[in-house]
Amino acid sequence: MASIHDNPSAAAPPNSPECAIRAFGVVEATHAQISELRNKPHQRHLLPAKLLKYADDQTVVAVAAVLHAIHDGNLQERTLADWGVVAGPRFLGRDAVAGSMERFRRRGALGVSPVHIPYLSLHAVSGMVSLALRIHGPNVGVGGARTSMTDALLTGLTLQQEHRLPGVFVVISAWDPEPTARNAPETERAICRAVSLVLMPGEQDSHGLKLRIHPGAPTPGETDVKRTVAAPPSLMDLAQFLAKCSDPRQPQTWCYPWCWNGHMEITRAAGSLVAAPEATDIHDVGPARAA
Amino acid sequence: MNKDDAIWITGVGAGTPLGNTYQTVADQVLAGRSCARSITEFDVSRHVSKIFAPIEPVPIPSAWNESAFRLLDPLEQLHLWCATQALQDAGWWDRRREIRLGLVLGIGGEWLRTWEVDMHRGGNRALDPQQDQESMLDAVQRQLGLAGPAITIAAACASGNYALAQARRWLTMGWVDVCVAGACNLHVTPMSLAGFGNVGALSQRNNDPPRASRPFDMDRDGFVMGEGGALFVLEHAAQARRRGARAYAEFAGFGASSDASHMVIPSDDPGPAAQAMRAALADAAVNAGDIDYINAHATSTPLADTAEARVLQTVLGDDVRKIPVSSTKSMTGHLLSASAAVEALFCVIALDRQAIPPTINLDNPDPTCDLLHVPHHARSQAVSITASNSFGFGGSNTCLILRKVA
Repeated sequence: MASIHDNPSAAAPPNSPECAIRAFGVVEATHAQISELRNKPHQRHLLPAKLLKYADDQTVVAVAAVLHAIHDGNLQERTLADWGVVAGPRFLGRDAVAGSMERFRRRGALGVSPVHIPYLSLHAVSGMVSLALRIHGPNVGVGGARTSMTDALLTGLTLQQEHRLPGVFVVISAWDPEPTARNAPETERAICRAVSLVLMPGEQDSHGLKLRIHPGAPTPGETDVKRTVAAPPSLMDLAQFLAKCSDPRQPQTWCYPWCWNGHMEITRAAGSLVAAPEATDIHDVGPARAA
Repeated sequence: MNKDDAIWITGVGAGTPLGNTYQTVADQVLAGRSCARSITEFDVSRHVSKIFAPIEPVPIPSAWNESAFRLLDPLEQLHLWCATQALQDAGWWDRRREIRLGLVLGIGGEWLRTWEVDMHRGGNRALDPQQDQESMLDAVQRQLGLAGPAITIAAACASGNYALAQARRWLTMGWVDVCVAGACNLHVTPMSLAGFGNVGALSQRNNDPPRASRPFDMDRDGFVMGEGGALFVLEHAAQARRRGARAYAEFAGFGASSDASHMVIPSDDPGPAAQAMRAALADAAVNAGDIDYINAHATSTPLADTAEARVLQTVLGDDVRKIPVSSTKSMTGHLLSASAAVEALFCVIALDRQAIPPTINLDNPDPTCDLLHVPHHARSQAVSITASNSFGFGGSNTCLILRKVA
């Protein structure tokens, strides 16, 4: 039997794909602030009335982040119909599902809303972004738990390259901390955070930022499975890195460990000055707030 | 595409309402067996739909201890059964830690199900994040002893096709040598049944379950929820050929688009879905007229079946009268996020057995679904290229093209 080492794919080094990050948007909101965002996720970008009425909180914040990214990248006039969307929420709908289950306990089958599944499934965020922006390219949800950030960056980049999409919106979202009992103090203080990146091919960047994935290789004889490296960067880390990109004194690289000693990285080209993201409202994280 | 660059399916693992082995599934789907029955597993007295298509009990994979396996979550059991079967079938099971092996699982409502199942057992996991330390993907990867790239991907009913496409992507990028991909679903739960029923999507033919799922039929009234899944082993043709592996099919093409119309209702504009089909055909470098069989998404809902027929008429043009179309959901029900994967399996079977699975219960075809149907009985014919449509809830459209390996 032929050895695996005869495999031509093993002989050639794996691709390390990269793309430009044309723009980004970061939004953080408390429960109370999300109510405002639900009606108006962006001051200057209007969406159909009540589009987000039944959307989960993470979906609302994610849509807001994408809209901020659009305006950050001056993409408002661009046709987005052929773009793609990749969304990586983390434990989407935990609080909403708890409410649904309570209604089910009280009322049985009649207590389950028709929107329970379509608005709380893993694809719900990407589907809503696609709907809001009339995007007809591929849209997928990925991750859903602790590795949502990795999965979204990975899928966004590879989707853009395989389908030769003009652009891909990647949006990652999570509660920090996650909600527990509805009236618990930590729930009232919790922040829902969403980071959206606009991935585009080649040099079409206005931020001097690039996303690159280095796949790594397995260590011979390695049997210890570690899917997530101890203490990998969090979504807040990514948000803060992006928010500080306009400061040339700040680190130029954000790195996220991946399997087989590989990693993902966002780099800012040396000497480039990343334009500060637009500061529009209390929900936006600008450099000053993230400091 | 250079024949050595092609991506082949070399292993299959399945747990479906039609059976839990490839041979059984192939025999039963070509026999036209309905799998729908009344639900007895939980109280459905207040549900509008009281029927489903369940899987048979998941067998114990040969590599597992029986008592330990049975303690696992049923969805985890199903994934492990399918993955183990597929890897053993492909001849990679004993060497899975020696190769660069990837894993892509299509799972659309993992946490909805997890939290609900826990609630029925008296738990409070939905409000205790500390209990959610490990996802289904983490568990499957850990149980299989894998350390390579792995993701969960979801696009509602199109999840399985996206999972297969992701696997192909990693293979062509040289990130993995072999990839296990597909989708499994066990989401027929009291709340999900209620949710789909309350949105008006489910059949209410509760007095005649075997005849409730009737895609393209005038009397269709909604879909029947089903359970199950399929996982596949994909690898480069050159590698498979060198080691003498069985080639079930070539992954020839994939296309995807979004309706961007509504979170639930399919668009009445065939354009976006047609775009997905055309992209898949272009990717496979085939013309629409080259297709020998189309496995339709057709769920047995009044709107969606007509919408898909319009898509097929748009893409196929005059060839719509020459290319047989069937919906295997007539037998298995709708497996939700696992439907695309299981229907890819049925296309593999069509290529293998040189026969088209039927659409059962198609007694009176809807004139708005004017297609070349295969009603009631399988049809033997030459099959070299298949197309499988999966149009997800909320408008995520995919088309998968498989080709027979010469």
